[in-house]
Amino acid sequence: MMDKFRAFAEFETFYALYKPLTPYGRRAREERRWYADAAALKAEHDLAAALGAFAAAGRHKADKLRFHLRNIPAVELTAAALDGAPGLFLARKFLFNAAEIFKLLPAPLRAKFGARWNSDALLALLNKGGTGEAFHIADAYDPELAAGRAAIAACDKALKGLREKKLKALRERWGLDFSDRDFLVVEEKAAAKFNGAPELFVEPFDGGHVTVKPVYGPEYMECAAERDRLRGREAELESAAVKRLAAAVLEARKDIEAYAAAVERIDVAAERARLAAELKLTRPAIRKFPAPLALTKARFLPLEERLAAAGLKYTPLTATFGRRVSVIYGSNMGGKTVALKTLAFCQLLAQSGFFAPAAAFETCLFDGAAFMGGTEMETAGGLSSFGLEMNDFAAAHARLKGERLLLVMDEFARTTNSEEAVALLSAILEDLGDRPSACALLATHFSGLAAGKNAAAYKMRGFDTAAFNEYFSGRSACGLDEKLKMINKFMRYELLERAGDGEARDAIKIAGILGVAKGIVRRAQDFMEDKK
Amino acid sequence: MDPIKGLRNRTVFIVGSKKNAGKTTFLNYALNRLRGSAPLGALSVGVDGEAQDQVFGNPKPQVRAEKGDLLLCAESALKTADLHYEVLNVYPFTTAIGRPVLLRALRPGRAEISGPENNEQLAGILADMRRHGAGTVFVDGAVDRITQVAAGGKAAFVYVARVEPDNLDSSAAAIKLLWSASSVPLCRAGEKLPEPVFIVDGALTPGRLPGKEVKRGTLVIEDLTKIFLNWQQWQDLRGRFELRFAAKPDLAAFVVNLCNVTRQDFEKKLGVPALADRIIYNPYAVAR
Repeated sequence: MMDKFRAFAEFETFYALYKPLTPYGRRAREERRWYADAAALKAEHDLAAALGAFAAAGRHKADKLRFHLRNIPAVELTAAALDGAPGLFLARKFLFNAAEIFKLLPAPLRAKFGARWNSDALLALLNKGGTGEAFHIADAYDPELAAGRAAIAACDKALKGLREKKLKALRERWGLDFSDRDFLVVEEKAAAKFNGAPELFVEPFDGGHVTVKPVYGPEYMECAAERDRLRGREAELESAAVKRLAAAVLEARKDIEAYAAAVERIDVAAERARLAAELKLTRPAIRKFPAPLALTKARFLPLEERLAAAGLKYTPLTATFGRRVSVIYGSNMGGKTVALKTLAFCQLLAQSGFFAPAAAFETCLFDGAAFMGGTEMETAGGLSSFGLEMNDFAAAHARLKGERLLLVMDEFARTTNSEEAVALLSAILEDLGDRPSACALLATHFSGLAAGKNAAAYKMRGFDTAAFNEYFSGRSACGLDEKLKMINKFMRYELLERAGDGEARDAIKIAGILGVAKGIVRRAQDFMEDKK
Repeated sequence: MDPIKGLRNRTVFIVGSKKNAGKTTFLNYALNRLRGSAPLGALSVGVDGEAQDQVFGNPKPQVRAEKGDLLLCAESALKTADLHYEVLNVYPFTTAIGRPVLLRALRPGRAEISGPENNEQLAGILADMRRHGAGTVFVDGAVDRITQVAAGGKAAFVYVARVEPDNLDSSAAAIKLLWSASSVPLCRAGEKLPEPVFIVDGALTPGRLPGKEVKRGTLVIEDLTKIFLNWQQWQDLRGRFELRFAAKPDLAAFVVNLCNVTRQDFEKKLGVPALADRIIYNPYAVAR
C-alpha cells in the first residue's frame, strides 16, 4: 500500500538524494521508516534541527563531521571477524572516527544523540598497532615479536647476500644472468653443458628448451629453514596478540554497539539537515489527529525541477484542507493531480523524519497512506484497471477499522461510465466522511458528487481566458513544447475553496491550444452553448 | 625504448590470451624490473582457479613484494601469506574469497593477490593505492576492466600470449588484430566524422556489424578489448568504415611465450615486420 503511495508522490526522486555516509545510516535508509508515533517523530525532527544548527554555526566543524562519518566502517563484533589484522583494523578505524565525531559535538548535543564515549583505554591499546590510518600487529603487543622480527630481518639479509653471491658465481662461471628472473629458458643444446652442475637445476620446457634455476646450496637452505622456523614462531605470537586484542574489543561490545547506534542517529540527522538546507525544507508542525492539513507555498520538488529544466514557471501550492474529506475539481492540466502529489510528498517527507518543502506545513500523523487511481495502464491478476482500483480501495477501507489512514484518490473510477462513477464516488465519500479514522482527498473530473456533510469542495482556478486572449490574438503556437509553455503560462495553479460543485470548463480551450482543428473546437463550443 | 621501463608510474593491465598464459610470471618479472623509485602496487581481478602456472610448470606464482609495496589480498589468503604487513584499508564488499584488504609490505615476502568484482570498486582501490604512494600499479588479468580506468589517461596494457603449435594461427591473428586496432584513433569531441555514424556499445561481434548495404560511414567502438572479430572480418571493417574508439588505453607491449614454436615461424605467421619490434619474446629466455 505504501509503495503505491510513494510511487504516486515520486518519493524515490527525493530519496535518491538522501545519502547517509556510514554503513549504519545506509542501513537505516533501507528500512524506509514511517513514523506514526508523535513522540518518536518529534525526536527525529529535533535531532535534524539540532544538527542543522550545528552545521550552520561553523562550516569547518560540519566538514570534519562529514569526513569522520564517511570514514566510519561497519564493525563486526564476532570472534571470527576479529580473528586477524583486518578485523582489528576495522575496529580501530570505527573507534577512532566515532571518538572524533563525539568530540566534535558539544556536550548537550552528544547527550541528545546518546553519544557517551567510554573507550579511551581500548583505543589506546589498538593505537599501539599504528598511527594514522594503518594498523598492524606491532612489536608493542609482545616483547618476543621484536626480537623474532629482528632475527627474520637478519635472515633476510643473509639470504640476500648468499643469493647475490651465488648469482654472481653463476654469471661468471656459466654466463647465466638471473637478475630480475627466478629462472631462465635455455636452448636444450646450449644447456647440455650444465649437465651435472650441482649449482643448477634443469628441467624440460618444450621440445627444444629447458628451464634453468639456481641451486643456492646448503648454507642458503639452512638459513631459509631458520627463517621459516622464525616466521612460524612470529605467526604464533601474532595469533596470540590478535586473540588478546579481539577479546578486548569483544569485552567492549555493549559500548561499541551504543556508539554504532549513536553514529547512525548522527549520520541520519546530519543528512536530513543537509537536505533541509540545500532544498530549503522547513520543519513540519505536527498536530494531534484529526487536524487540518495546511500547506503554505508547498513545492512538489520533482515537478519543480522538471519545469525549471524546461524553462517553465512553477507555482507552489497554498491550501488548507480543513475537513477530513476533500474533493478537488478542475480542468485538464489544471494541477489537480499535482496538488494531490504535493500533499502526498510533503506528508511522506514529514512522516519519514524529513522536513518538508514548504514555507509552512501543518499536518497530523497517520498510521499509513494509500493511493488509488491513475491505473488505466495497469492490470494485476486479471483485474481491469477499474477492478484494481476497487481492490485497492477495499483493502484500504478494511484497514480503517483499526488505523488512521490518509487516502489519496486521483481520478478514481474514471474508467467506468460517468453515471455509475458519480454514484459510487458519492457513496464512498459519504462513507469516509462518517469514519473518524479516515482522511481522504479526491481529485476528479466528475461534477455533481454528493460528498456528504463532512466533505469540503475545492477547485483549481484553471485557465486564465482573458490573459490568454490578450496574448494569443493573432499568434499561433507551434510544437508541443511551445504549446505546453502556453498552457503553463496561462493556467492558474491555485486552489480555491468552497467552489460549489466546481465544474471544469477548460477542456475545449486546452484542446484548441494542443492543436485540435479550429472547426472542431468551435463546434464543441456550440454544443456546450446548446446544452446550457 | 625498453617497453618495461615505459610502464613506470602507470596503471598497467596485464591481460592474457587465455588462462595460464604466464601473466603472473610476467608480473613478477616486471615488478623486479621497475623497483627503485616509488612503491609498486599489485592486484588482480577475479579468481580464476589456476593452481599452477602452466607456462613454466611452477606452482601458481605468488607476487613477491619488497618493503613498501602495496598489495591487494583477500582476507582469507593472508593467513597463509609469507608477509609482514600493515593494513591500509579493508573494503566493505565481499568477494568469493572474502573481503579485499589493501596492505603495505613491512618487509620482503610473498602473497597471493586478489581483486574487486566490478569497475567502480576497482577505480576506488586504484585511487586508494595512489593516495598511499604507489607509483606503477599492476592489475593482473581482467581484459574487460580496462575501459573505465583508461578514462584516467595513465592506463596501459600488456598482452601476454602463450603460443604453441596448436594455437599458432589464432594467436598470431589475435596479436595482429590488436596491433591493427591500436592504430585506430580515439574519438575526439566535436570531430567531424563521415556519416552515418554507428556507435557500438559493448562487444563488437559479427552480428553487430552494420549490414553489407552500408558501404561507408564511421563506426565508434567502445575500446579495443571489445573487438570479437577474426582478422578477415576486421580487415573488411577497416575497408568499409572510418573507425574510432570511445576509450583507448595504451598498448604498451606484447609478451609472447613461445612453446615448441620458433620465433621465425611465429613472425612469418604474423607477416608484419613492424610488429616484431613491439614484442617481448620469452622474457626469461637466454639470448643466443
